[in-house]
Parts: sequence; structure tokens; C-alpha cells
Amino acid sequence: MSELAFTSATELAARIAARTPSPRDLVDAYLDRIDAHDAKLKGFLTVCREQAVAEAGMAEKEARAGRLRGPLHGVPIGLKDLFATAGVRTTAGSRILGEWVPDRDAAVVARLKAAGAIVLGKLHMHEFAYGPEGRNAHHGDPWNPWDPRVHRIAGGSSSGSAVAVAAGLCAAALGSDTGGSIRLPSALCNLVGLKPTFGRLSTDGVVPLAWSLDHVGPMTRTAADAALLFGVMAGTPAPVLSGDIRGLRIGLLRPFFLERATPSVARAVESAASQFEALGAQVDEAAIEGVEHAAAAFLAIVWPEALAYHQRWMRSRPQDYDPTVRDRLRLGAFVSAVDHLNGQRFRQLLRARTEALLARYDLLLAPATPITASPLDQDEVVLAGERRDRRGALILYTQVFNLTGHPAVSVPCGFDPDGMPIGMQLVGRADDEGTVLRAADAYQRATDWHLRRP
Amino acid sequence: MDREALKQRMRAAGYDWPDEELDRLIPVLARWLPAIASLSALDLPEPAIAPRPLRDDR
Repeated sequence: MSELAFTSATELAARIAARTPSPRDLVDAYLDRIDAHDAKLKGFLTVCREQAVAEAGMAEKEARAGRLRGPLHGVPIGLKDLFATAGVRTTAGSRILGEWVPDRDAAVVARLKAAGAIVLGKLHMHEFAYGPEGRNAHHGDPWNPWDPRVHRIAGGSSSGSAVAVAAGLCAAALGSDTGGSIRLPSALCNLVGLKPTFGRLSTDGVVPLAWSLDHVGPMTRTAADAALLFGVMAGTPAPVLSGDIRGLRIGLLRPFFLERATPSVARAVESAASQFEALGAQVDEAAIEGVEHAAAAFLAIVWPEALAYHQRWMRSRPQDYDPTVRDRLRLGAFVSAVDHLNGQRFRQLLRARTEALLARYDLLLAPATPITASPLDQDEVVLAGERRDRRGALILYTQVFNLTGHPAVSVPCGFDPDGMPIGMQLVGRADDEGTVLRAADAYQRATDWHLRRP
Repeated sequence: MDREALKQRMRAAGYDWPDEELDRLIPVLARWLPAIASLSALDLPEPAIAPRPLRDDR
């Protein structure tokens, strides 16, 4: 069954349609693996054992009768614990929402269920999605499955989603991404993580971090799986992945991006660029002017938007937050409305410059993160000779495209000398998830990084 | 970074946090508030929230 646990969601759906394995066998296999591994890994906050078994039984009967609900019939998935689930506790990784049981599903969850997906459980995360390490003071720190000996961060905030898919505890997962929280844990755990165009997928029923930056999307083993889940959630046919990227123009972002990454990350992404050329794409070096101001603009927006949402609890229950999250929320009190608006105005400038670049190129290519997964308490990193805090470094490249709203996917492209995964980031035009995923899929057909297991 | 000025800003926003907790924020604010303020020196266009409006499917 271990083989099945690491099989792609696309293939599992096809096999279930062909009646082997049955949804019940598959759910049981994942539950066994959760029992065996999750006490250490901490992928799940809530396992929906009885519910998943009951749904699998139903799905099995339907499959036997030749009735498939949709393209995900019987496929077991996990949900970051900020997606509302009817009748199932939804904590957002917090003590404050520790007993919240929503009476309806988030819009994207309803669509996945309608397509036949079975929810195995709710996944671990940084409290209220406010931290890129994916740590959690209330429920324990998720363990990156790629290092069984040293406790390293999985990356966040969708840490449990990354851990659960990477360790073969579910077939695919949902995450949310305000500054990189889908792409960066995917990069650190050797997964594909898609942040679609801003607004393309509904955030209805999703606990917010910053309304004008929040995105939701799939975290999977393959680009084909990401396309499958994206299509279901968007209510459109899944993008067609032809495997053909001949003639595609790719802009490799060196200034700010490649030039600041650690050497092993830079080498892996340059090697991926060569692979794209070998597949028939044309790769040239490109730059986004003014991108060095992105971090300031991001903070000018995320700090006050996060505090605005949390204001009531910051006044009534401040002691119930992880102190580091509480400190971060407090920063929002020191950003003026003018600062916030200037952040939004800068965002428009950055978007226009990125659009101009995407008129010349079909895709932009950069590292997903400048660093790989580091040990839990290593809070500082060195980038291009400069000492920086790890939090800021982790989202350095991803937050840029939360600001611009363009679709971006993280794809496995190598390993560092410690055996930690490296991810690259492919960015496309607004609403053109198809080209982003087509290139990611073509790369995965030509490489085997994503087939390696922890 | 002037702690008293920060305190005034905090109180104006309706909060009253202990000094030791405010002190933890000072290094972060000292690094980032000037960077945020410097955005105003750029030739900025009118704001737009995103490439297109947020869709709500429900």
C-alpha cells in the first residue's frame, strides 16, 4: 500500500474508476499511515476518520455501480485547517477558534466534495496563517519529512499540507497563500504548489490573513494533479497539459532573485532553465525594476489588514495568541492609512512592470525560496553575504507575486547538499494558469525530482 | 526608534500594551517603517487592489 500512498491523485482517480483500489482500501491505507507517522510529523490537526470511512464506503458502492461523482471520485485529500468544513472543527491553528465548528463548507471545499474528493482531515498550519515557518506554539511544530533525524521546518504557513502530501498521508491538499504559504512549503517539501491568479478561486469560507493578498490553491506531487484540482475548484475544465513547450519564451529573473539565492538553489534553478531550453523553450535573462521595494509594500499591506481582522480578539483575548504571532499582529497598529495606500499604489506599479515583462515572455522563472529547509530554531540565514531573519528570507521571492496577483507555481528542481528539496517558481500572465502548469508538467515529464521520496 | 512616540501611536489606535512587549517590536519597526515610508518617494500610480476584482462564487 506504500506504493499507492505516493501515487498521484490523477492516477488514483483513474485506478478507482477502474475499480482497483477501492476508495475504502485507499482511505484505510492512508489512515494506517497517519497512525504510523503523524504523531512525529504533525501533518494533521483533526483526522476525520469515521466520516472519511463512511464516505469511502459510499464512493465504493457508487463506483461499483458505475456512478462516478466527478474527476476526484474517491480520492482522499487534506485541507489546511482554515478552510471551513461543515460539522468539522476548523481552528486556523489557533486556540481562539479551537472550538469553532462551521455549519457549511468553504466554496472550494464544496466543489472538491462535489467532484468526489474524500476529506481525510484538517491539516496543521502556522497560527492564523501568520508565519512562513509553519510552526505552531499551541499544537507543536510540524516536522519536515525530508530529514528524519533533525527537526527542520516544513515551511508555512501551510506546513501540515506540505507534510501530509510529502509523507504520503493523503493524495493532495489545499493551502492558502498570502506571501508564499502554498509555494514555499511546497518548495521545502518537494511538492508542486499552485497559487492561481488573485481572485480566480473563491476565498469564501476561508479564514483570512490579509484580504487583498489572500489566495487559495492545491499542493500536490505533480503539475497534472494541480491542474486537476484547480479545474475542479475553478469550475472549469482542467488545463490541457500537452507536454509541448517548444517556442515558449521564458524570462529567467537574475537580479534580486537568482543573485541573492544560496549557491545550491541558484545552481538548481539555472539547471532547470537549461532543461527548459532542451525542451525547446527560449530562455533569456530578465529583471523586474523596483522589486527590491516589494517587501516594504507587502508589510505596509499585510500588517494592518491582519490586525484589522484580529482587532476584536487582540482586545479581548490577546493572551490566547502565540506571543510571536501576537507581536506580528501588533505591528499593524504602527502603519498609517497613507502607508497602506502607498503599499497598494506600489503594488499597481509592480504589477504594471511585471505585465510589461510578460508581454515579452510567456513565463518568468525564479527560485521559489532563496534557502532550503533549516533546523527549527535557526532563525537567521545569510543571503548574498547579508545576515537576515529567516521569516523575511523565506517569502522574499514569493510575496512579489502576491502583490502582482499573477499565477505562480512552485515545482521541485533539485536537492541541496543536506538532501533538502529545492523548488523553482514559474510565473505566468493573469488568468493563464494553463501555460504555467503546462511548463511545470513538461519539466516533470523530463525530470524525476518529484518522484523521489523522503 | 522613540518608544514614547510609538506609545502615543499605540494609544491613538486604542491599545495599551506593556512596555516590555512594545520593546520587542522596536527593532522590527526600526527596520521596516523607514522602508515603508520611503515608498512615498517613488512615482506611484493610483491604487488598484489586484489584477481584477475578487470573485465570490456563493
